[in-house]
Amino acid sequence: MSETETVAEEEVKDPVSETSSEDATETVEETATKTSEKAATETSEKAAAETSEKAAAVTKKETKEKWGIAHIYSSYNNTIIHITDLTGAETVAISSGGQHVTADRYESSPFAAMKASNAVVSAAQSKGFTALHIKVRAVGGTGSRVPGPGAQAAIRALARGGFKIGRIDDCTPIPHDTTRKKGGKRGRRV
Amino acid sequence: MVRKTRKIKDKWKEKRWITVLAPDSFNNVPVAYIPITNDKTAIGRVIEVTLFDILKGDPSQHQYKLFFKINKVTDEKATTIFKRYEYAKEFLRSLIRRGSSRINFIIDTKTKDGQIFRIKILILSHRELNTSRKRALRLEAKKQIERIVPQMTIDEFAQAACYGKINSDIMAATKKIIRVRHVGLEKVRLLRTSEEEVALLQA
Repeated sequence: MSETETVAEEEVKDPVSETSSEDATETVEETATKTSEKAATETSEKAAAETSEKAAAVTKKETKEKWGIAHIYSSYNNTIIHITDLTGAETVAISSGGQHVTADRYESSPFAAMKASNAVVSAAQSKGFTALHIKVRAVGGTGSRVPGPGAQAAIRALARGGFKIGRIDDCTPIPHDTTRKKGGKRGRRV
Repeated sequence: MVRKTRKIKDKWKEKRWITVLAPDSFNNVPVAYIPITNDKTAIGRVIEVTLFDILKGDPSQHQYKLFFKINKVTDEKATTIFKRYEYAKEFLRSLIRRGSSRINFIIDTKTKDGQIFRIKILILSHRELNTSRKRALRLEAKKQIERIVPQMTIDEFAQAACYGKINSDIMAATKKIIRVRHVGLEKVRLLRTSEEEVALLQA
């Protein structure tokens, strides 16, 4: 039991550690490009100084971190990613898989979801959002209760975009008492 | 068709950021930082937080969701009222298993200051129960709610509901019927505030 628990914990921690390491590499790259002409020792010193400055800036910001909610609606026909504020009343950015691919059948693909996520990430970052809660939703109701193929790719892309990720919720609407599923008594005949 | 080119106004620049505070019952801790255009439209917005976000205690508090509704906005801050409390979906699913009974009971109650709440009580037993026991459990839960809640103000009630005081009271009362696995408030929802109730009665 204990082993499984530890594994689960590691899995949970993974995305956070990934993002943090990526951030670190990015900052190092930036500094490297800026000071490419100077000696290697100087660059390392500068990099250290800049990272410490950045860290200080981050700690200042943490008091007023701008959280948002990423609503990911993932069906077998499309993926819609909608970033709002914490109340859900103000839209920050919205994009769908269909905006990034030409063929209808690729709208729900992980690639399209990734593209849509990246579009939304840049828009949200320009508005100053730094952290996101994620709400994943499948069709629900009489439809599928499992999120489509784009959901995972979308979450991954959001995490890679440099956002701090908070809760990840499944908010598929599940009826307490359904209406009849479409397709008739004998099912869908293809 | 040629579309008219409209000048796009950047609405986002007009927005100002405000801090949303939890109700008095949760010590007015800041729960959110949100953008608004004007005070009037901000009123009525609902914010979802977990109990952990407020108390920062143990991780098990992630399982309880709280909803606060904005009722007043002053310059940089917004005050809220307690709107809803419920179990997280995954937590509820983890509680329910085969071979044990699930007893639900829904009741509307009024607090001392006239706020009307709808409470959904969840009781889970160790093994399957017969109907007479289920009935007795429901009756006992009803008795306890009717005894406790009307003596509380909304702040006391919100605290008692979220910190599990009501649960333990019902649990203690149900012990004489049968020992149960879990007693809790699955959902607590504010139906009407006292002002709304007065307005409704006058209409």
